[in-house]
Amino acid sequence: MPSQEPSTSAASRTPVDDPKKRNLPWIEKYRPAKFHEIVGNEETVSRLGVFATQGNAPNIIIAGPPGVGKTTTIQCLARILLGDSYRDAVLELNASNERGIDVVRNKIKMFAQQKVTLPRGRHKIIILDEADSMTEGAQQALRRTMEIYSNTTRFALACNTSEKIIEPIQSRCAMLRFSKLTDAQILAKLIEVCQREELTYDEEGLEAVVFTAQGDMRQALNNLQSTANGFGTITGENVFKVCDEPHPMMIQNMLDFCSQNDIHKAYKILAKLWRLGYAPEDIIGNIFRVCKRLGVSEKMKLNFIREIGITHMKIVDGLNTLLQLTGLLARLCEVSMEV
Amino acid sequence: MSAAAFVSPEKSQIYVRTPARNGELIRKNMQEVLDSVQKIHKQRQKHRKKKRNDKDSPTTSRDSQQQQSQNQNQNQKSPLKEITKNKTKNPEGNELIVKTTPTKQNSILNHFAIATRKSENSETPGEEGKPRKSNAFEIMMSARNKSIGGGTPGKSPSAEEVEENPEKTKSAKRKLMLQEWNEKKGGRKRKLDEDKRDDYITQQMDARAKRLKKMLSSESPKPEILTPEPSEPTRKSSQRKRTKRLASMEPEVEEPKAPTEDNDFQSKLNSPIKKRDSLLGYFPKVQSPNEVQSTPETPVTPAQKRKGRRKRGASETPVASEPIVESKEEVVEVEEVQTRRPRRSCTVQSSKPEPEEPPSPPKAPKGRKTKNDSSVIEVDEGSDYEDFTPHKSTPNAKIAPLFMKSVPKPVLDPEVVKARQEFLMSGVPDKMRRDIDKQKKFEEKYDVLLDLFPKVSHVTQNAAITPYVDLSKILKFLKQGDDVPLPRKLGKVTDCKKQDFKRKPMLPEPLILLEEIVNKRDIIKTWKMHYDRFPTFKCYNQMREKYRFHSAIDSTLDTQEISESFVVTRKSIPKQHAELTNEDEKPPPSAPNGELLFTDKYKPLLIEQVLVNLTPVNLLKEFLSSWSSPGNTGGSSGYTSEESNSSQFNSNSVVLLGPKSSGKSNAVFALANEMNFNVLEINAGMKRSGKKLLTDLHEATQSHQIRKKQKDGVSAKSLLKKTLSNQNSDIMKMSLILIEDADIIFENYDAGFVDAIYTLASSSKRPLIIVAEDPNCPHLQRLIKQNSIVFNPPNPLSISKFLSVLALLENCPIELNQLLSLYLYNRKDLRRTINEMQFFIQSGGDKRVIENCPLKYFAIPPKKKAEFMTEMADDGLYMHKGFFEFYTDSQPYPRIPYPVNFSGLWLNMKEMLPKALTTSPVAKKKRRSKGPAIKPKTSDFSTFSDFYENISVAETIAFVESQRENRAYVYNLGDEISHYLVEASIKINLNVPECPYNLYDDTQRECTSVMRSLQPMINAKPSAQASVDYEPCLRTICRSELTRQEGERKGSRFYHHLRFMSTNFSAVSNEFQKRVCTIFHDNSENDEPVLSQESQPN
Repeated sequence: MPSQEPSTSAASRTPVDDPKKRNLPWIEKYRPAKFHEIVGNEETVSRLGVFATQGNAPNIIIAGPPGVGKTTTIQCLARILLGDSYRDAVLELNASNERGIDVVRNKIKMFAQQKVTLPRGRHKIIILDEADSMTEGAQQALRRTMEIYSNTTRFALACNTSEKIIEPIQSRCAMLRFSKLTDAQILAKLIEVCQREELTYDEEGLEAVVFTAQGDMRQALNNLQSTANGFGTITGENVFKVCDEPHPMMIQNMLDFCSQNDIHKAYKILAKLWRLGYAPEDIIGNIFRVCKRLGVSEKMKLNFIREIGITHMKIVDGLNTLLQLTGLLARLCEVSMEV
Repeated sequence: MSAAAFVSPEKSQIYVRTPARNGELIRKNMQEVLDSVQKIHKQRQKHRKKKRNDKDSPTTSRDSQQQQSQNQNQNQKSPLKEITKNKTKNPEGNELIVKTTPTKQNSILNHFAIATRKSENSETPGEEGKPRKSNAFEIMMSARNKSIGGGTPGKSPSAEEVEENPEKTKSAKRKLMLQEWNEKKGGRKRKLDEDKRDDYITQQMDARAKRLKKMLSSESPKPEILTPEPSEPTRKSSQRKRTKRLASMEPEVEEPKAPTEDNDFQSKLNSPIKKRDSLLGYFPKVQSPNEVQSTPETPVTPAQKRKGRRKRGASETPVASEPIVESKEEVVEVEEVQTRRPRRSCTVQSSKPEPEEPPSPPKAPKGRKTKNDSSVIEVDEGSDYEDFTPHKSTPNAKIAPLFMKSVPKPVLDPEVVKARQEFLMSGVPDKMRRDIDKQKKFEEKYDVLLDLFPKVSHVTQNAAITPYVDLSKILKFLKQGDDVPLPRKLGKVTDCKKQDFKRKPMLPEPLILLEEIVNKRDIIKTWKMHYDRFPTFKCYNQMREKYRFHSAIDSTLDTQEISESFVVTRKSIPKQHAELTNEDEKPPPSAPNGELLFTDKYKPLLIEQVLVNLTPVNLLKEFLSSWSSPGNTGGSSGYTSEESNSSQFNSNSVVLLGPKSSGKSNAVFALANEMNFNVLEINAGMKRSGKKLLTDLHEATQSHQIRKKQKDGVSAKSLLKKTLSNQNSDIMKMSLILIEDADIIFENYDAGFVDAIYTLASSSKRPLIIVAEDPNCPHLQRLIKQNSIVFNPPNPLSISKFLSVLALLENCPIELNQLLSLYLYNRKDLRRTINEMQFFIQSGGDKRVIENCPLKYFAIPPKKKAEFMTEMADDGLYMHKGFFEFYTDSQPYPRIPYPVNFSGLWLNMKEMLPKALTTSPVAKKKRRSKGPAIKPKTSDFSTFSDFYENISVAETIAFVESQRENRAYVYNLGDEISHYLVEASIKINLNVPECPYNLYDDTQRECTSVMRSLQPMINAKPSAQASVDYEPCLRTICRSELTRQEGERKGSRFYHHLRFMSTNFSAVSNEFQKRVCTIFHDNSENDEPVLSQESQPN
């Protein structure tokens, strides 16, 4: 793996000298092509990097939430492993392709039987993206195929929930779990992108992007690009204009008022949020997220979150009225009194 | 008047629409009128018979006839004709509608527009005829509009026109009279009064005749125009006028009615229109005298006509230069031609009527009448066009407007447009107008300010064009948010810290490869001390052979020789090879990780190499040996041929049951390899409909041997397998049929699969091995009962030792605890564990040395924990520790893996609670020595109540979340909240220090979880009656639908419907039954010996 200094490579590839990539969405433009560029889940990724150089990667399933680089990782692996013969030796099927029993029995099997000359230790790779959307029947049809052709063909599956992959398939793979990216990881990538795109940004703006992304790099880059296209500069205000969410600062104020037992002011904010037309689901989600980092005692925070959880449950059940949210505020005030 | 003057084509279209829509209404009215006319007519005839005024009738009829004919003549030139005809042709209502096509209407209206124009332009008294003509239209239009409701804009001009009329007293009177008279037709009063009025009739008739004569002599065309109208106006239209004028007019109007009406009617009948035929049926007798009368009069009309025409032509000449008028005229004429069949167009070109007559079939019955009419018209036309020729641009070219090159469109004066708009806007309320203005202003501004949609086509994207829009400009229009002062401080809403903003370059990690361990044998020897009762050496030796073999392959790249020499058994290990590779060679750089999966690399090739599940394998061997041919000495123990299958296997088939990766298939292949069978494999990845199955296997099942070719075709085996089989290729191979995944059936793809299995089982002469995972599989029950061998997942303790040896061989010794944990965590899935081990080992094991710190997770049943922890005193060898942790949930949470497993949580509570009590600042009191039973203080109580409340809320949230429809994956807000609650409440309420978290999932807990999930279903039953009555049916339906749905494609509609109805499908699936079955099954053999029975002490 080339130990190139990433900063220099970043400097050499300004957006201007790459006209082809100019109009790409940033999630494509900055999709990592090398393992060291992939953000997050470092341990797993670096292990896969070893396989990329050493060959003989076993069948793998990568499971994790959206936007953490599952597909990117697999493509990296395949690209590095197979190099020039990528086109011949990789079969990529995602949810937009038909992947029924027929396809498994014919297309996949045919591909597995194909002879492609590869260096030793390298195998053809069948990438099944979004494998949890495959029907159970198709997965069943796959199980023995996976085994029989394991000498020439390896599978790489990506999915959100490993539970939807049938056990026999899981049994033939190594399960790798990807987790959400941490805020710092996303932030680092955002800064890199901003510098490459020569954007003006402030820290608050980037933080706002990070907040809206919730550990999803794709979301983060999309939000960043929308803001950049819309306003040119990344500031907190602009970001929240683009990604219309209940503003965390407002919610934080609201919760602060609650913790100070001042329901009137808290309600004012809630009413404002309600008037702005936010869905109760969004509001409660952001309340939870903000509350997690609220600067109150841990005990109070815990009690807060319990109340939030109860309200969330009601909202999920369909009781999404202002009354419920107001009730939440009242109970939060009550809790803050007790503690 | 001004509005009327500005009638443009656009406006005329507005006119057009309304009549078209209300054609039905008009038609009805006309129908009524005509009906009444008929009635009256009949009555009249009666009266006439009585009174028989011979003198009057001819004159009146003649007059009226004259009028009619004149009308017709005139009509034929003008589009009016169409209308009148359409109107008069009531009896055939259907055709009426067809006839009043928009084009005609349009033409009429155009004409109308022109007429008004002319009337405006020409003020000379001599041209009165024209305006009057137009007036006739106007009246018609106004009448129509009134009947429609008067809402149309067309009303205003016509009204104005009407006002003009009174000046021309006579004609107007006339008109009105006739109108009245027509109205009255429908009225009943009239009928009653008729007897009285008959007296007047004679007198009036005389007067009228005189007047008419006078009119005729004075050449005024007025009467002509009026006649068509009477038939037209609807009652509504006339009502208004009636009120004004009825009193004065009535006596005059009514008397002439009877005769004129008759004549009018008949003349219409005679007019050269298609529908006459049908009308004729009504009045066959009356016709003949009229016809006779009409003939002499014809010559009169042309003259009149011509004059009128000429006047019109003259009046038009000055206007002709104007494009509007000109074009309109032409269009009108052309359209007329179009609608009016070829006759007229022909007349223009050749002024002969006769040749055209024959082609038009409807006229044939009318014969003479039509001829007269048509001839009259022709003369008119001819004269007309003579007049027009100098002015007209294309007099002869009468083509459909479609083919006309370009009809110059009237250019609208912007002022006109403005005026019109103002007029239209006049009725709009102020507020709306203001809004519109605002909108317009906004739009203008908007247009000027920004180019919202960049002019970039995606086909040709130039780098020069910046497709991005400056959104800030748009957003200026948006209302600015709120003026809530937002505190600006980092780290408030996210985890970002200040130092994160200083970007540090991410360096690729240096590649760490595992060192080759030199003294494996010694290590194994020490291990052996700990692994009592485990065949450590046997295991080690076997695997070392394979390891060496493969690394030798890797190093020499010469597979053939070695494989020939190596293979098979310990005895056949080539001496030189063993010496050569006494200690190991380095794998070549080309493929440092080898080429094979560990599962392939270390799979047993011979029965002696089978280390786990020996009992079932031996059973299988027994079964197979009864089938092996006598020629094969193999390893068969006594059984020689088929007839010796006396023992427990009394059929040719056996079902291998067992969970995944318990070694079913491998056992078959290992045995086949050893006993020299040729495996014909059928699996779910093949097309396996019953038919195909039978044809494919027919030969194999019916003979004892099969040809080599077929073997290659069907059993696609690995390279290794082939190299192994090469050895014995000289010996005749027997075949066995292996059906994998027999419990999986795709109904739409594998039709007849089960039947084929049974057919094979009954008819095959070769052993049939069926592999299935599900012991409760309904369609295999018969076979299972006959003959089955059950495989069990290997025992965790022995398998972990086995794995540790394997790991050592691969130069990466892993702690036994880790292996055991992962194996249990994977629910005793050996293959997966090996796969994950391979991944872990080949990617470098522990990346960095993990110190002797407690690990976060483990998965060992609590009982056995102590025994495991004390294991393996170490002698300087680094044991990799990060193995299990790598595969457990790697979510960045401190303690509890992300989607909280609440049953797992209770398992850990046993560990945690004591710790909590010892360290909790709230509950200082030491825990009692007796178990987790606690006797806390009141403060403790509140702490625990808090804790349990939190946990219970968390569980509820998680439960609600899990019950949600369509939840995509586990990263939901509810899950997050519940996880946070659990995590935090353990930390805060209990104040438990960091301690390893047990992820072990034992059967007991599974049992309870099944019970828990069953509970709500039981409670949810609507009533006992219901559950007895229809629930079973419903369940059966659901189950069958579920199985059908598994076959994808069609037939799953009902399933979806049920699912949409939120029928709880998990309740009706077999899932729970299966789980319960397995639990019972497992429990019965829970206390199996730790080692496989056949283990050698070595």
